[in-house]
Amino acid sequence: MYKNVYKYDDMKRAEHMAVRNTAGWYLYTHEILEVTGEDATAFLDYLYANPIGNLAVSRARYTTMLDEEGRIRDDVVIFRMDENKYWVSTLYTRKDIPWYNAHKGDFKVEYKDITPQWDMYAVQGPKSKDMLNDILDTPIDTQKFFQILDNSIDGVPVKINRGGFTGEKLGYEVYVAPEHTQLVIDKLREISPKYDAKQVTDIQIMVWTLPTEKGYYLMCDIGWANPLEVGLDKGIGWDKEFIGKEALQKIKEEGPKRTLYGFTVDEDDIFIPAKNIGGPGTAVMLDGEEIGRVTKVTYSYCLDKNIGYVLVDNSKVKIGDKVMLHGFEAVLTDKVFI
Amino acid sequence: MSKKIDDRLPKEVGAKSLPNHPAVKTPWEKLISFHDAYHYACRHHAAIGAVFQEVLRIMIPDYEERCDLMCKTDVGVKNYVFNKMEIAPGQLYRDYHANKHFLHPFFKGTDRTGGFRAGAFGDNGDERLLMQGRVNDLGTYRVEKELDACPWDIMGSEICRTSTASLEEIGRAYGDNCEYNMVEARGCGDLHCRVVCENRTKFPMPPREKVWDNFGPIATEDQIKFTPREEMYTEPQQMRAETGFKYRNGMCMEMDCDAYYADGAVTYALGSDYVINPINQLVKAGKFTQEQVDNLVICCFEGAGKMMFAEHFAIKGLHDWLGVPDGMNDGRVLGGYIEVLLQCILCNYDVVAFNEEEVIYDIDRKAFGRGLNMMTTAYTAFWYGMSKTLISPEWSVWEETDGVDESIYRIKIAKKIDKFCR
Repeated sequence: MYKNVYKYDDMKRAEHMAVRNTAGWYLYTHEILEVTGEDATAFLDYLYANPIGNLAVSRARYTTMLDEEGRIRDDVVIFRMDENKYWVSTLYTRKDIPWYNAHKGDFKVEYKDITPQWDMYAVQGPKSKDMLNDILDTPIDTQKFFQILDNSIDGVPVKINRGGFTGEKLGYEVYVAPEHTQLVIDKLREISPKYDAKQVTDIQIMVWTLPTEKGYYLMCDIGWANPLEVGLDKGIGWDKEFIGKEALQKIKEEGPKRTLYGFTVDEDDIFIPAKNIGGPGTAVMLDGEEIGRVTKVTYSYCLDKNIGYVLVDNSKVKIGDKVMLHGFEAVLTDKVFI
Repeated sequence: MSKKIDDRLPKEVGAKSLPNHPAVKTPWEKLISFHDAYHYACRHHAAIGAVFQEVLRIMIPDYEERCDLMCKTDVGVKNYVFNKMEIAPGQLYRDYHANKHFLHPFFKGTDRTGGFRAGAFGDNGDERLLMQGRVNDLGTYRVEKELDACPWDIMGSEICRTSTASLEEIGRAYGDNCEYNMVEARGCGDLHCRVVCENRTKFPMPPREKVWDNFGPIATEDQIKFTPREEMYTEPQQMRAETGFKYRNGMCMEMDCDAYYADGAVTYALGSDYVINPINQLVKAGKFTQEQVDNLVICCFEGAGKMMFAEHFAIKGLHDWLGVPDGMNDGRVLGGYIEVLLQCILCNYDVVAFNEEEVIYDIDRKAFGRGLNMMTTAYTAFWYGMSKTLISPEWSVWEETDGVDESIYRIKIAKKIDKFCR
């Protein structure tokens, strides 16, 4: 019973390990809010915790968006496409646009959801650069991390961002107009054998196993927590004004009460419901007392072990401690597993 | 002394959902809590669906033939809704629905996958209708949903097969080759309902020969995760403190009780939808006339109404529930019951008369039926039957139409001598 849905699945394992060892590619279209106007920079600086104004054109930054109580409403990557033009890459435009509307005030800014205009393919792994150099019209050898540049494939315009959600040192995102998406698929399929690359098809691999091994979050992990609890305090623009700053400063002075830890479970065949598939997540139990909840459970193919995250009362536990998760013993770890 | 305080529903939960927040109010000023109103609406609708199911069982006695019709009819409905129906010119309902569930753009998958997304719709719909449980697996090639409760379980296993076929057809609108099976079903007496979606490219199985034959077997039985009885939920996410009184799926879609009520599903007899549509198909095909069907509906619902208060303790229970003053035994008691129902399902009504001689309500016909035909026929018969055992056989319930606008469903409760009992 409870046969592990990852461990024995050769297809998932092959897709995951292709990204780690050679390259994997997959549709990974996110939603894009295009923000323009003479106050676009100031507006985004006010809405997001990390500074935006010092971004150079073509560069990108990861940041959180907080509410007035300092709780995370969304986490996004913001691309500076031009002096007064940004792309906000998110999965929650339906929540973000009302938030933008509520705080627009006198800012001279416009924003629109341009998601239908772009498909995005992630090409991730050690051979991703070589793969893309084979199909792109302009080599990407000098492209920096979190930099988005225009390029083309057989003359069809694309945008290439160096970055991704796998933790790979080499990883890229190819933005292409949907009418040309088949061209990208055909090209990637054609050259995959040359690089022993694979198409990643399972959302469990692209969303959970690959990112979690490298310590990447989802909103199920960090939503409604504050950045200090979940380790996202690095880079916060304390010297600028942003929504939630006052509350966050108070939390900083007092110290966060909870911490997001990683965990491993040695037992293979487990049943630990977690927030990443909905619901409240399993209670984290220490000596019969609930000290937090499981936010995510997945699998590390590199460690061959069940892994996940818990958000817990940090006065009760530390890394290395053992807790019980739905009857299974787990050891708390750092959030980065490999 | 224990200082433990068990969870209770905060007053904010359900705020603004019902006319007299935080509760439904009976004619005698007794309040029925939001929690109870929500539960009542879901169970009541399931019971109404169960009676319609009996109608169909009389019309088609053969189980396989009946299930086949129910499944094929609903597959046809879902095929239209999820492939052709537009909510605005050029805007498909399918895309709106996926967006509503926070299904990220990349979930559309490859040319060979994508059908798993109906699993996310099902999860939301389950919690909304008090079919609480948990998602045990959510992937491109396999989804497993385990339910701890299902108000529809009283309708019988036909609805289990039909709702599974419905999910599969919805899945088909988003991708290829996903097969849904309800490998356990509370409607069959199992502890849980368990729906497993498997992609047949990855998990091959012999092709399903009959649309209704969807109780398994499946290819991934050894991956099932079973929750024991002592860990089963008795309330849905939107009524539990541990979830902040919100439903939340894996993509962080959140809905609270207010949102669910506003969404209409709590107030709509969705279970009946699965039965009324095939009944209509039989009429359309000329196998039954509408008069024959109406007669069956009236007989079944009138009988069900009489049975509601055949036992004296049931009468006492209703009086207690509504706060009926001691000694009152006339049309107002049934009227109070009807008013509570109408408030719970958010159906507007006017009290035209409310006295010991007669009770008359003008009910918003459109809101009452919510697009389902035969509902007024069914309820008039149901309330008629109830009047006979709740008050006395001197009393009756009928619909008045003379001089009444078509948009109004006017119900009168009064004494009536009728030598032909119709």
